[in-house]
Amino acid sequence: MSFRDKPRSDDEVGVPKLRFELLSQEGREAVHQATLEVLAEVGVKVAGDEAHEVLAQAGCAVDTATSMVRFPSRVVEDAVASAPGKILLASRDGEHDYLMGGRVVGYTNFGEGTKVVDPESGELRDSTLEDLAQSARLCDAMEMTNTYERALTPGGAPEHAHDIYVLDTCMRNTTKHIHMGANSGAHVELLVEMAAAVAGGRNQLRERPLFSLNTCPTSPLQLHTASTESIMYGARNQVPVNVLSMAMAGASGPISLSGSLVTHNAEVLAGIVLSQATRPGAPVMYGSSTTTFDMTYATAPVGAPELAMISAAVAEMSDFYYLPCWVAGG
Amino acid sequence: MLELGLTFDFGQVVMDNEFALMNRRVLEGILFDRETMGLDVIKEVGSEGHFMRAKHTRAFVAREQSKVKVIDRRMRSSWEKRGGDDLHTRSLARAREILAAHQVAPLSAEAEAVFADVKRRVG
Repeated sequence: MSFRDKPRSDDEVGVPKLRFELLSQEGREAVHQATLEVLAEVGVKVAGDEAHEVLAQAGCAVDTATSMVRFPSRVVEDAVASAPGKILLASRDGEHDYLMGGRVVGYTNFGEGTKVVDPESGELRDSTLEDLAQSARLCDAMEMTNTYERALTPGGAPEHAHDIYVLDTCMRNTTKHIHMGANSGAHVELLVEMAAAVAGGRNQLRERPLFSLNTCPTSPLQLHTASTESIMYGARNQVPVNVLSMAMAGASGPISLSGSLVTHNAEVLAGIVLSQATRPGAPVMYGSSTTTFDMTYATAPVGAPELAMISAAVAEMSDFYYLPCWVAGG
Repeated sequence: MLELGLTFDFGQVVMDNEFALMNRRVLEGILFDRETMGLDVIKEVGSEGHFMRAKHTRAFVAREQSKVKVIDRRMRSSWEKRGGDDLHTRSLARAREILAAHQVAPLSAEAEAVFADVKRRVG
C-alpha cells in the first residue's frame, strides 16, 4: 500500500476551522521527491551494528565501514505507509489523555532548558530536580498543556542515570503524559519497567503509553547511537518515539528554507524507516525544531519567522504523510 | 522558555497558556450558521438598542468570546489604580499561587517500590 492511500479519519471534534497553507500540493511533492533522491543517493550516517542489521533486513544498502545507509524509495514510502496516523498519549489519571494526529491541534510546554529564573528571587541559576518537579506541577495545572514535556535537564541527578531521575520526578509531579529523552536502549527498558509499574503492567502500558521518547538526529544526515537505540527499543515496547530534527538553515542545513526542509525531512524519514523496520506499526511522530541560523548573531532563534514557517511546512508534510506532528514554538 | 530554549521561566508558562487559549479561539474560526449570526436578535434589537441583555448574547458568549486570566483588558487608568503590574509580574504571581496550592495524586506503593529498585540498580 502506498502512503498516499493511508486511511484517514479527520472529521472529529476539535479540527480547526482555520486552515493555513504555505506549501502547495506541488511543493509537498517537490520536497518529498527531493528527499527520496537524497536518501537514495547520499543516505544517512547511522550509528550502531543493531541498527545496521535492522535496516539491511528492510532492504537498505548499508556500508558498515562508513556507517552510511542508503534508503531505496520503496522502503521509505512503505515505512510512511505502515506508521500509524494517530497515537494515544495517555495520562496516568485517564483524565488528560491526548489523541495526537490528524488535523487536531494540541499544545505542550517547551523543553528542554538547563537554567531557570528562580520563581522567588528572580535570580538566573542552574536548574535542579526540584525545579523540574515544580515545572511539571505548574504545567499539570495549565489547561492548555495537553501533555508535559520535561522542561529542564537539571543538575543534581547522576549523569549516567539522568533519564531515570527525570521520569521519577516528572511522574510524581504531573498526571499528564510525559515526553522525554532516554540515555540508551537499556535505559528505555528501565523507563518501561517504571512506567509499567504505574500503568499496572506491561500490557496496560502498551495500550496506554504514559510516556513517549524524544530523539534528535544530528544534522546534517546523521542518527547517533542514543537516537537509533531510542527508536528501536521504543518501537519494540510500543513507546511512541518523536524523531525531531533540529537543523539550522545555513549551518547544519542549506540556507534556503526549502533546502533545509529536504535535509530535515530526510533525517526524520530515516528515523521513521528504522522504527517501522524494527516493528511495523510502531508509533512514531514527525518532529521539528528546525529553524534558521542567524549569520550575524551566530544563534538559532526559535522566535524567528523562519521557525514558524518551517513548522507550518512541516505540519503540511506530516499531513501529506498522515503522521502525527510535533513542532516547536518560540 | 527564554534564550532559545535554554532558560525556563515559571511566569512565562502562565503567559504561554494564555496565548494558547487565544490561539485556540482563532483556530475555531468564524461560524456562519443562522443561529450563530443571530438574525433574530438583530431584527429584534433593530437600531439604537443594544445586545448586552439579549438571550443570544448569553447563549453564545462562552463559545464566541475569548477569555483572559492574566492579561488585563482594563483601560490604563483603571489598570494603574490596581497597581499597574505588567503581564509577567501578574503571571509569575499566578504561577506562585498554583505552586503553593496545586497537588498531584501520589504514586502507588507498588510503583514507588519499583522506582526505588530501578534507581538502586542504576546506582
